[in-house]
Amino acid sequence: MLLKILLSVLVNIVAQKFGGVWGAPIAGLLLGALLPGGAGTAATVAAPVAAGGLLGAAALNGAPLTEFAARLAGNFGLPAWAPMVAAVTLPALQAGGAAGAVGALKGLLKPPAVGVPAPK
Amino acid sequence: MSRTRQLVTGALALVTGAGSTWVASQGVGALPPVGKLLDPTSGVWTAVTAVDLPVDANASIVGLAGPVEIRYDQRSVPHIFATTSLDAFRALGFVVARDRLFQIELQTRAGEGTLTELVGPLALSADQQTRRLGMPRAAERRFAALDTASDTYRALVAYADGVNAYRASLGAADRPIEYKLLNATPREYKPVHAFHLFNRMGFTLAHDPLELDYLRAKALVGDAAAKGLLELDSPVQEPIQPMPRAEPRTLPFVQAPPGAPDTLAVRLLASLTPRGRSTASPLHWAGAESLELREQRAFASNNWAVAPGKSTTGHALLAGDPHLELTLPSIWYEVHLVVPGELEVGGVTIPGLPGVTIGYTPRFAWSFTNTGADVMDFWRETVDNDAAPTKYELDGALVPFEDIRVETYRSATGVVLGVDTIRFTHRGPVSREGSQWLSMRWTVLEATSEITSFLQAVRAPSARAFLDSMARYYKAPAQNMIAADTFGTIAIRSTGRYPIRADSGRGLEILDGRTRRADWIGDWPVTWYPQAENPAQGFLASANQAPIDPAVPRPYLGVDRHYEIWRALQINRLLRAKEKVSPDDMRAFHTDPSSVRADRLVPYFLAAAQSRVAAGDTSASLARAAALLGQWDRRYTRENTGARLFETAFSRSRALTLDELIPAGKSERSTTSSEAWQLALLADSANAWWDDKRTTDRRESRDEILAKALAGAYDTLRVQFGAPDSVPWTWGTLSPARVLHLLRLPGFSVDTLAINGGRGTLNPSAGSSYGSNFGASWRMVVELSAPLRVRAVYPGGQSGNPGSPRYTDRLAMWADGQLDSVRTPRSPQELAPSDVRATLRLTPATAGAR
Repeated sequence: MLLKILLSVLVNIVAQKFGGVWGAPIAGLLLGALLPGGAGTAATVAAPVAAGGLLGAAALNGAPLTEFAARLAGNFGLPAWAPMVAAVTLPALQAGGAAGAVGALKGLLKPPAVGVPAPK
Repeated sequence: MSRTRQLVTGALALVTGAGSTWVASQGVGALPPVGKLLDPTSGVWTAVTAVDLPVDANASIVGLAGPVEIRYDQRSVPHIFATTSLDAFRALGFVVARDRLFQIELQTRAGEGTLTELVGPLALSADQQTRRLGMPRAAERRFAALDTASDTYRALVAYADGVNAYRASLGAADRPIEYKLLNATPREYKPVHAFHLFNRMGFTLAHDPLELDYLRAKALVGDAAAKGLLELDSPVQEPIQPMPRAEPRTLPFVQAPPGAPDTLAVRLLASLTPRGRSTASPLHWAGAESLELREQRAFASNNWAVAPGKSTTGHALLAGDPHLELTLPSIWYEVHLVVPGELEVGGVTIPGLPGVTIGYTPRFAWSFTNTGADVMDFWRETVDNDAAPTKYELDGALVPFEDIRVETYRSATGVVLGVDTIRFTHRGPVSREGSQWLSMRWTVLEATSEITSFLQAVRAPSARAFLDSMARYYKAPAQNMIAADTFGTIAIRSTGRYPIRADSGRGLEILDGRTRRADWIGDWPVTWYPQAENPAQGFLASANQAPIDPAVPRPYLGVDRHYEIWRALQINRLLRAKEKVSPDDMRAFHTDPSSVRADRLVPYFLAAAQSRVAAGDTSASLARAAALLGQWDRRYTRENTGARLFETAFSRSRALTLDELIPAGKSERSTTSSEAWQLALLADSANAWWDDKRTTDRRESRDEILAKALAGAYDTLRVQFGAPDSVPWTWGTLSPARVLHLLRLPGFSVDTLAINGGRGTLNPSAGSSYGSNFGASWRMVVELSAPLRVRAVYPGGQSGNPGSPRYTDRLAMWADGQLDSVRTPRSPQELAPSDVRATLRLTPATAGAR
């Protein structure tokens, strides 16, 4: 599972970096199609990690993200943490949902296992 | 896993994934597309990840004749070095858009009446007012009348090319944060937008029509008292056109007592009052806005100049201090344009308007204050069909309206929010006011060459030539234009179009529209304008006071309610007090906390309290209030603890004095007097206006009213803020300056800025409980030496990005009353390398290449 999550984080980072709002669901679709099972869980965990990683990279470059998030939230009477939490939660829902749906579809399309008749 | 369970899980996952992606990318109802907004790479976070100008950048603009080099100094001011004026305007459009793209769109839409298309239905009433005033029509007509070969037209197109080149270079991630919050895309900037924006400035600088105030006063206290209240000249004269005297002149104060209501006025007022909710219209300009807010918002611009003989440097000095709404980003953007042999000008530009509005050239400097003349009148029209008129009566015949426009208000998605039919007579827009049809004439709607005036006048060789060039082209909104030059000249002229009314008429009555005899019959010639050059006193000053002493014979220009006397008295006092004035004195004057207003008014309150105590008044509140007020040095420093009490007491005294102007069943007066009127009344202790008509059994004296106001103010503030012994009523804490984001977003605003200054000082930037946030929008001191020495500041920063340190980097300096050194390099090499923050090179592009 750890390997799956690591792969999912990588896919999410690339997809979210270049796909904008569509990045997380695209990553979810890809992971759902590629992973043999547990894609939904892996994507749900990986997407916020990726989003957080991208924001963290910006913060490491000196961007005052938390201070700005507080000002942004202040415009709408929200708590200071709300924008940051929303920024990482949404990709989780998008990616996890997409991966889970594709995973389930794969399962449904897979022919039912045919049992070997027992010798009489 | 069973297939059913798989199916249910899959469906739930699908709903979660698709639903969250829909909400994230499209939004739902009032919820914006939060995913786009908060996307780590291209969402709002880019506001803090790309905060400064790239050190080196290149861009291209179609139509550019040659390369343009732009060097930003450490103050983020772009110095534009171009080889043609048109290229300079292209570059100007580009650099202003680079820092203020959203502001350009918001401001031009405000003048166009299309704010709803950007911000939604909450702007509908503002758009309706703009369009009902005929502002978009006026702008379109003015632009259509421009000769396409003229310099002005070509400059407008060049500027638009620059703005649009920057706009086209933007990816979705690079858009200003406001567009992301509104889920909007920057629109194309068109040359006509400059006219919309200029109209908007005319609107900002206009006063409420006095016709309605006069009618309201007549309906409450009769014609004689209403005339005394609103028709009078300022009781204290310190005009812009100086008189040969060493002190202000006090006029005899003759005020009729409040009389019986004028029944005709009562009827006319009733017929003009809209049914239902009060909304803004041309006559009911202020809509539902409170009188207090409008009073707090009063204009408070200052400018003054000192002749070489009165200057410590031996050079002429000029100070500019225009006051406008304090916004983030600021109304102004600082620039410097150099086109060798053609154009060299620096100062501040209004984002969306080509040219420098207030500033300097190597030869002269200039600044403006608002004149406040009455340039708006109303006529009652008789129409053919009251429900849907197509004609109006004029000189005995029914004539068709000049124009009928159907105005449609739309949301950002094109949904129709409302439709208006606006009719125009030969005078101007017609509006339904209650059961009447009124037409309006306003010089701002008939302005002609104002943009040309700014483009031409900066090429003048001297201060006098600058003012003459402005007088040739500039008509509205009228401005007190001051200029000084390196030859030692100081000059001022109140430039604008001032109408002459028929039969020596004044502008207070709503006129009969059925005849052309009631129309304006001409305009003042320039020689009549209030003006002066190199006066014997060695200085000139304007601060929105009455421009010309009534002893000088001139037709009606306006009334005292639209002027303010205190700051004029203050500047003149400061300038007269010094034999020689230095540039640093000029800087210090900007935020000087002393106040002629407090010096003249406070003694009346103290004397009233003393008199009431002597008469046996044992009120503890009165005694404490008098003690607190007596300790105050009447200076509006940040730390003082007396100004808040005085302001509240004075405001209450006005409410008690002018109680006759409160209509039956209302709690707020419907009109008011000027503060100069109040000052004159204070010297007339027996005047009937002092009586509180609500106490029918007795007649109050001046001292009773003032003492009551003072004690009441003390009690109010004690409840609001606590006892002053334990919680001092510190001015800077209770009345800070408020600099608000353009969309009033609190997280992007600064509303707790303690400053020196208050009403009546030269820096009345303090906010109030009414939400007013007007203040000093650009402070500039220029020493007219060769080369010029310019120092300046404005509240805010060059960047419009709330995440950038350049968004508010000038704010502390502004609040402290300091000025920064303005660089005036005449070539790129003259700007020291250590002073270069960034460089931008613009090169010609072929069509389609951008």
